[in-house]
Amino acid sequence: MKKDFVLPVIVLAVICLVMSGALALINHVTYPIVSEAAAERAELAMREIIPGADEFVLLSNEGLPESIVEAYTTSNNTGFIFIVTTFGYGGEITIICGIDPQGLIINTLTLSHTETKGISDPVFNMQPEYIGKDVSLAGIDAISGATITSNAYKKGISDAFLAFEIIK
Amino acid sequence: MNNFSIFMRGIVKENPVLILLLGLCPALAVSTQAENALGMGIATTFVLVCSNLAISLLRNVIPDKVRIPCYIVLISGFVTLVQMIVEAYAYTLYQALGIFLPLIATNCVIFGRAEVFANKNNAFKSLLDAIGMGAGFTLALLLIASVREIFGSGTWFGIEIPILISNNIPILTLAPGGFVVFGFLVAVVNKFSKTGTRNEFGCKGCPQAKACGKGGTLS
Repeated sequence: MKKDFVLPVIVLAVICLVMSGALALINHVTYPIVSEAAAERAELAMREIIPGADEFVLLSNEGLPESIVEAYTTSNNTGFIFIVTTFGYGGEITIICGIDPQGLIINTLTLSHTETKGISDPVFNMQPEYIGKDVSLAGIDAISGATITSNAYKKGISDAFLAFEIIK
Repeated sequence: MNNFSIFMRGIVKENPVLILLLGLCPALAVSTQAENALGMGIATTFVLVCSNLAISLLRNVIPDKVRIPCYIVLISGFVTLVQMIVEAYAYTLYQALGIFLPLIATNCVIFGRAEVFANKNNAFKSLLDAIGMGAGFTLALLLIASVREIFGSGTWFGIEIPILISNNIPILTLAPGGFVVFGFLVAVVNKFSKTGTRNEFGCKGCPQAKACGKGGTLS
């Protein structure tokens, strides 16, 4: 009777402990690689947007719109970087937007999105049109058939401008 | 049953995706590109090999009452392990597989092999079974993904195919296209296989009847 109840509990607990131990060990090995690679990717993307930047300095998110994930300024005052998440048709869209001190878009880049493949492509392909635009985003039209994605993308960029107005 | 037939069974006669119709969620979700399908197949095979081996070795230790929680802990542990390794060393694959990488834990192929095979057979046979089933899963995924990528995107493993690239059928890369391609493949396999997917209902028509040990007693 006792054996029927005690043994299963002990076996299950031991298996749980052994597995957790193994995972902790692997995590100890992979975590530095993962976080280093993530930092490197972010740095690379930011460099692509403001090639002339000297060093990126992380700013506090306080007071900025909620959609701003991270905001950076550059040490040689070449512009500001905003990492924005916005919600499209299929979930989160993460965009990097670089704005120069005069309030013009330097460049934008889509980090990740889960929009419908094929249908949403024109929205992400019109990224060059944003270069040089000011806060009004004049001349940026929604793509028919992908209106929700278009509006989400535009809202993300507008949020970056909101943050820019607060920070600058 | 000899060792070779245990291995081959998973690839042809009891192919998990095309004959047993298991693990369809990842099979349809990540089969838009051949490269992703291959990555998913390898990741699943790795988890399957680890879990089959562990469960087979522990089959006399694990009490029957708690076997299901034990399998869940073991399988999800191996899945998390694969996830960490893929994130660290193959980040593009990690991004492409997305949510379906942690969801390998819920893949019924893995759980099915643990319950039907690994807890009744020795480590070597379980290893063969896992490799066979994993290979069958990978090949089936690769087949579906190749059809969808070649005709849906006009590429194969990212290589552009002339003519098809400008005449692609985008719906094949979307969910409905996945179901259509899968349906046709199952129909073709059903036509040519001797046992068939579902020629008869109940245990008699089930390709796993022998392994589960209840063959013919329930119907």
